[in-house]
Amino acid sequence: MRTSFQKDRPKYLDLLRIKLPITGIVSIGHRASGIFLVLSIPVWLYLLDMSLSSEQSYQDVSELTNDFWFLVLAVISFWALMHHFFAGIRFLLLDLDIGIEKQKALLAAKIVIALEIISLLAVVGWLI
Amino acid sequence: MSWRAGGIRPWIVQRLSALVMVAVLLTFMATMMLAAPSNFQEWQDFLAGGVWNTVLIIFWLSLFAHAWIGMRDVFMDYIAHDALRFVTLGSFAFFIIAMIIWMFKIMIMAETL
Repeated sequence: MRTSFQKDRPKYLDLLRIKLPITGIVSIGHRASGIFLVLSIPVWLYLLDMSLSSEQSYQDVSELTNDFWFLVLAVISFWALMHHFFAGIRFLLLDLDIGIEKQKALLAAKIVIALEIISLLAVVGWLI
Repeated sequence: MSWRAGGIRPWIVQRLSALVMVAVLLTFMATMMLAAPSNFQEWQDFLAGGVWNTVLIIFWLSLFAHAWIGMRDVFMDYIAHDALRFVTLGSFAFFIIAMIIWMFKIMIMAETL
């Protein structure tokens, strides 16, 4: 095994001792939600395929919204999408040096969390 | 920075594909709120040919480019073992190519209905 990592780098891998600032939480959340969204691609392609294949399979897909576990998957996917969406827009703004100072960066990270919670609640309210 | 893999080109593709997806998502959501297709026939007509068939293909291609670069970065960050990283990247490339073929099958089928 060839690796370019330092052998003597400090290891602070006690997850209970690592305390990320909110900007760090938004950042790792962007990565985690991205991985989740990639894994869910086949599910959404399958549903798109079904919805266009025949009248009957279109009905089957429409009726999935009555299925509890499908709703759970849909809500989690929507949450992942909303986090990825708002955190991604924040990163695009950071590229333009908008919100790069420490105080503004912390505020922007809080706004990302607030927006994703609001949109998640809106969708849950709409589904119920 | 190199213009090839690992350099500035994937960085730019990642941001351009993000902007394309934001634009399509917002337009799609607005369209669904204003005039959502309410049955099978209207849904088929909505995606058969016309603007939305093309727009959705562009959306999917942006998504696959975005997913490839994002996951490539994740694998390169966390998999230090060369052979394992190579196999993982190869398997993921196979997955993305399969998804692209499936997507084209769906979108072309929708167009010729």
